[in-house]
Order: sequence, then C-alpha cells, then structure tokens
Amino acid sequence: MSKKDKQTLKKTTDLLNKLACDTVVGATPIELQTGFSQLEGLFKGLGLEPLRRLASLYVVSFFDAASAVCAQLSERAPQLLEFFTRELEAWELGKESSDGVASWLARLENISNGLPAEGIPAAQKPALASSEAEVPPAAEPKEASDDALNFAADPEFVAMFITEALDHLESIEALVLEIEKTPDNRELLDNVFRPFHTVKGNAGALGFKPMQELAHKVENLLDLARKGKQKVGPAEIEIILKAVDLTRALLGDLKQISEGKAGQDFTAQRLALQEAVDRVIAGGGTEVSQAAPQTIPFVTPAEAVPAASVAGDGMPKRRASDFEASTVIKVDASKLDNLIDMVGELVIIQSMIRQDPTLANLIQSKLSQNLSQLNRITSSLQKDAMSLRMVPVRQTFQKMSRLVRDLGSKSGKKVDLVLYGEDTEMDRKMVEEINDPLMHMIRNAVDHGIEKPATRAERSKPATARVELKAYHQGGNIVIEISDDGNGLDPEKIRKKAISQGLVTAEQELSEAEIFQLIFAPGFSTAEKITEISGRGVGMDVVRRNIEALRGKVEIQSVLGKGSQFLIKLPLTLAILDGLVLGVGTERFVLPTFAIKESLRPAKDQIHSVQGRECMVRVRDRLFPLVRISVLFGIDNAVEDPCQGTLVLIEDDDRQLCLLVDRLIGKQEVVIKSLGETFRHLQGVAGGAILGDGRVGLILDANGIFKMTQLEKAS
Amino acid sequence: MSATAVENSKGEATTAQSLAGKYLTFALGNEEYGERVLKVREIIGMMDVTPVPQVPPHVKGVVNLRGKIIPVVDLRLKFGFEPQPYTERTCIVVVQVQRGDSKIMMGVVVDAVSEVLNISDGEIEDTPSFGEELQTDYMLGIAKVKGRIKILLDLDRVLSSDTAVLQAVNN
Repeated sequence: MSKKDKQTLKKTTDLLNKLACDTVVGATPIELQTGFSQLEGLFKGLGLEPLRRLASLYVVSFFDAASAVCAQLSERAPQLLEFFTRELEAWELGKESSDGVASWLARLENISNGLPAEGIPAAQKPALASSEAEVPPAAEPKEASDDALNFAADPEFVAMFITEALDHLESIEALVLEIEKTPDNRELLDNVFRPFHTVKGNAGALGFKPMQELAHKVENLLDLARKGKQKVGPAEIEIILKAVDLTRALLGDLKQISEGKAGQDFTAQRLALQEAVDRVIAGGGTEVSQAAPQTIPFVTPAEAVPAASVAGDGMPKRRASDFEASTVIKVDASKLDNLIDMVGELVIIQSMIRQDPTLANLIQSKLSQNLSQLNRITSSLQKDAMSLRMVPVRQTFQKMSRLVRDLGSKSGKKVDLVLYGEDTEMDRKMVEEINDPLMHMIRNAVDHGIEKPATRAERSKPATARVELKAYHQGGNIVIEISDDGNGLDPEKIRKKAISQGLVTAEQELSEAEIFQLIFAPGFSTAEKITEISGRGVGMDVVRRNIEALRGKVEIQSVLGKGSQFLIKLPLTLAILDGLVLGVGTERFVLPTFAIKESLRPAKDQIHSVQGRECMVRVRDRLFPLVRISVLFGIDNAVEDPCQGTLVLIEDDDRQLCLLVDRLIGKQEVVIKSLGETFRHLQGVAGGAILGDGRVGLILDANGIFKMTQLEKAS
Repeated sequence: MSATAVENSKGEATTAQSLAGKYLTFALGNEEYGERVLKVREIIGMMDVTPVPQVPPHVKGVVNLRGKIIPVVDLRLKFGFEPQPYTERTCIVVVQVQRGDSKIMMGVVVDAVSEVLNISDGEIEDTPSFGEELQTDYMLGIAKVKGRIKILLDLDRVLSSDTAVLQAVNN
C-alpha cells in the first residue's frame, strides 16, 4: 500500500470511529450527511468505487426526504458504519469484499421509497450445530412484523432476562427428558410448568410478544397435563422439546438484535408450532413431525448465547430438583477472577513476611502464634477462593442426554445415555472447553459405535444400546469416561487406513494402544458413510487438541464387537499446578509433576557423545536424549557439565528425554498465569507461575519441548 | 457537493482536533516522547524481568503486576538505540494497548518519566514525512511545548507487532 493510501486509510478509519461515536450520542441528519460525504471523498481517494457509491447514495437519500425516511436513515447509520469498517479491514488485508454493498444499496433504495428496508444480509445467521438438517434460508424482504422485536427495555434487563430464560430452558429440557420416561409423575409435571410460566411472564413484562405467545401455548398444554386432563405422550414431548428449541433460537435472535445486528424471522415456525400445540391439545396431534417444521435449528444454549459475552455466569446453575430452596447467586465472572488473583497475591505476600529474616530474630511466642494463625486463615481463604471456580459437570452432562435422544431417534437406533457422577466438580473454564469435545465423542459413539437394531439382534445384544458418561476424581485428576456397548474399534481397519494415508508404514510394529491413538490424526476417518454429523475426519484431532490444551489426555480401550471406552483425563483445575521448581542460571522454571518420571545426578560414564557432542544419557540400560534448558531458552551462566547439574527425565505421550538443569529447588503448588496474547505462540512454555518471592517463573510444557528438540534436529 | 473541500478543511482539522489532551512525557536518550494519559495505567519502578525465549531482543520478558503477568518491552531497543544500563530513574510504564478488539496491558521500559502535559491543538503539528528512511506510522504528531519538541506516540501501533510477536517468528 502506498504511503498516501496509508494516510488516507487512517483518516478513513478515524472518521468511521468518530462517526460511530457521534451516532451513539445522537447525530443530526446534517452531521450524518457531512460525515458520510467526507467518507465518500476518502473512499474515492482509496479507489474503492462500490463503497464510494454507497456512501454517496446514503447522503443523497437525505435530500428532500420525508422525516420518517430521515429517521430510518439515521437509525441505519451505525450499521452502515460497521459495514464500512469491516469492508475496509477486509480490503486492507487484501481479502475479497463481500457482496454486502449490493444489499445495502437495495436497502437504501427501499427506505427512500418508503418501503421497509429488509433483506437480511446472508452473513447474519447465528452459528448452528444442527442435528436437524436445514437452517431457515435467507428470508425474503419482510414486513416489520411482530417478530421484528422492538423494545424500549433497558439492555441490562434484556441481558439478564436472556440468561435467566436460558437457565429455565435447561431445567425444562432436563425435566422433559425425565417426564418422557415417567409421564405420569405429577411432581415433574408441576416442576416443568413453573419455569414456562416464569419465562412467559418475564417475556410479557419486557414486551416480547412472540416469545410470550409461544410460552403461553405450551403453558396451556402443561397445565392440562399437570391437572391430569392431558396425557403426555410422545407427540406432546416432541412438541415441548421443539418449543424449547424455538425459544432458545428466539433468545439468540433477541441477543443479536440487542447488539444491533439484524435479526431473523421465526414467525412462520412459531405460528406453525403454536398451531401444532393447539392440535395436540385438541387430541389430533400425532403428526407432529410435519406440523412443526424441521427447520427449527437445534441450538444449544452455549451457541444461542455465547457465555463469554453475557455477564453474570459464575455460580452453579439451579438443579431441576431444588427449585424451591434456591440459594445460588450469580456473580460476574471477572469479579471472581480478580478476587482469586488477589487471594493468590495475599498468600504470596503473607509467605514472604513469614520468611523474612528480620522477623526470625524478633520471634516470640505470641507473634509466632499469630503468624501461624495468619497462615492458616490465608490457606483456608485460598482453598475457598479456588473452590469458587469449581462447578459440577451436571449441566454439561445433561445436555448430552438431549443430544443422544435426538441422535438416536434420527438414526433409528435405540440408545440410552446413563450418567454417573454429575456432582463431580470441575474448574468452570474447563467445563466450557470440554463441552464441544464431549459432544463430538458422544456423536461418534452413537453414530459409528452403536449398531443398528438388526445388527445388535444378530450379535445377541440388548435392543437398547447403552452409552455411559461418567465423571470421577482419580489421583488428583478428574476423569470423564465415555463408554458404549457397540461396535468397538477395529485395529486392523485403523491400521490399513493409516497406512493408506501414509501415517505409518506397513512394516511398523504398533501396539494396540498406539493404533487406537491413530484415530486422532487429522483427516482420519474409517467411516464408510459420511453423515452430516460425523465421519468427515475433522473431529477427533480437534478433540485431542482441545483436551491437550486443557493439559489433559485421552486414552482409548476397545474390544471389537463388544464396545469402546474413551477416557478423558484432566487436571482438577487449570489454575493450580503441582510442579517442581528448577533453577537454571539466574532464572527459575517450573516443570509440571505429571511430566516427570525421575531425576538424577549422572555419573561420567552415563553420558555418551555422538559426533563430539554430549547428547545421550544412559539410565538403567536405556538411552535418552540429553536436552539443555540453558540452550533451549538461551540462559547464560548455567551449568554446562551434566555431572555438575541435575537431570530430569520427562515424558510426554510415549517419548522421553532428559532435561539438564542446574538444580532442583523444590516441589511447589503454583498458580498458573497466562502469559497473555503476546506470547500465545511460544513453544515449550505453558504459562507463568508467580513464585514465592513474587517473581515470575516460566512453566515448561513437555510436549512443546519435544517439538522444539525435533526442530533442532531438523535444522 | 464539494466533497473534496469538505474533506480538506474538515478532514485535517478533525485529525488534529483529536490529538489535543493530556500526555505523559518520558525520555529515551536525548529525545522526549509522549503518550496519551488515557492509555497509561501506572508507572512502576524497574524490577526483575523474567526473560522469555524466542522473542526479539527488545521484548525483555514478563513481570508480575499484582498477580497479573504482563509482557515488558524495552522502548530504547525497539527504536534501535544503543542499550544502556538501567539507572534508578528507569521505569516501566504500564499501558493498555489495543489489539484487534481486545485490550492488552504491556509494560514499556523508558529511561525516565518527565511529567504530564496538557497539549493543545496549536502546539501539535502533523508528522512530517521523512521519506522512506524513517517509519513514522506510529507517531501521532509532533508537539512543541516550551520550546522543546516532544514526539507523540501511538503506542497501539508501536507495539502492534509485539502483541503478535511470535507469529512472525514461527511462520
């Protein structure tokens, strides 16, 4: 880009920002016209003809326009500015511009002609993980219908309403799945009626008529059910679940609109569903699948409202069973994190005071007692703060129930999902991260693992397949087990596929465990049929990467014809690491204990050279590569001679090597801090630890170190 | 519609207009620089920096700022000056820079911190072009205050390559 262009570009972005601020405060048509005609000039300078035309048309639209048209144009200003900003960014990066200009031109024409503006740009669909095929096609220009939600409500109330409504929907969903199994349970019916009633009431209070209407219809159905006047059969269950899905979609839509993005139109589906409810109540609703169109996207709560952008996600969600005695409060997540940071600092400073040598001289019994007390209180405080981050896995697990049910019915297989250990607690952040991998693995289990009923009968297996999802603590870790009694993995098939993809050679000898691990290779899939859900081979490697990012690992066990078992092992919390502090030169590093096999001070005869370089260590008849931290990380004044320093034997997957450090300082539980965006791509370092004296020690990442040493070998 | 005229008379005025305000001025060698006070979070004395591998020499490493780990960049080295030993006047200025749509806290090592100045439009001039030799993208402008020249920095741009330091190294 030329210098002049750069300057013009900067002027343009500055102007876009300024105008965006102005529109927030409230810009008059004159201000908008002046601003946009400046933009027109700048676009011309940059040679962006389509954008120039758009800006020009915008300005011209104000001429002699009716006040209603002016008002609409003003309303559109922020959106148009955002569009310009994005187009400009794309242009700067050399990307193709979208064809949004055409739709904007059309929109402006419509507004000028007094028509409603909308053709919703195709880019605005919320991200969906659809278990039902279609997503509503980009809608034709719509009248401003009831479903074009306009609300004067306070955005904070809206955000809160959305979060709470989603909570309710989750409870409702869990209850409905239980009701499916025991349709006559009055208590469950009562329990599921109440949240619908609440959602309806809140929606009404905020003026969200469509949602209110839908909730009202379902509420009618549930009311009849709990009074014993309507039997809850499969048709009713289907309808209610579809209503839950649609309400989630509406909530997601509401969120989009509240952020100033274009919404989608669900009127058609909503009315159809409402009709279906009426029909079911009247007793004629067996043909639910046609009545309620399949185009309702299955949007999981996490996708409808990405958790990060809605403030207020902190505490364990309400359980379906304890609606009454709810003593759960919502806390802003960042406040919680700050609190935990501060407690961490308190622990460190308290420890530094206790270890201060001047204090050691002054110690007498009263002071000493008080200091011990201080220490006890601080430790207790830290434990409590840490536990604030832990939430039970229940919610995530229950989402899987719904998933399995839908997958099973879609593929014509009968599958039962049995949950164990839903109360097991896990770090809040990990729960979010584990959601996608779990969903993928469960999809695999049902899709590829479980056989069709005919095959199961042939194998004398029970008609209803069983998938178990378990969570439990084991030795300082949390383990999540997914097991099924289906096909099991075929080592031979995997091996053949791996050979054909060039992952391994025909001669290589592999253990069964190693063969199973091959399924995590990118692009690997032995599925003969690709369904829309899985089989494309893009899933498992992402799953593994996600789990490794959480410092976890996946183990596989399987018996062909009997079933498979996937074990996900994760550390209890991402925040604290059990580590060994190592000294190298003037720096200190922390090595996670789980990567360490042993440490030793070698004797001269254990060190072997290759081509004059000392690079192998013999430990009990096995040879390991010798890697110097001082070399890997560029530390001066470190111990060079392995016999003067300490060797730490580390392991990752099945690889092992010996790290040379100056000395071992001691075992320590350290709080892991991210090094931030800046160092995201750093290899060999998993984060920073704040050590006892307040300084930062880098936390080593065994996997990264292995990669680094391979690069060195290559170079 | 005199778009060009509007742009020239208003466009440039607009640019200078947004530059007036309070600046924290600091010294690097013989030169004085300034950054908008709004971006400065705090100033801390020089402390032990934990070095981080695989980074350019001006990225000194990380420090612990009340429980948060932030990266530290030596501005002298970044601008290509000769490295100098740190004195008791050397400080770390903690700034909040923009990267994409997130804000990152970074520490910047400067030789000494001077003062907070209220700089008006009249005192600011557009960055002259020094030809291709000198990169002036990250200068907001040049201010003349009390007879001395202060170079106003846009630290977002100065540090933008550092907020994504290692992508370049690894690619």
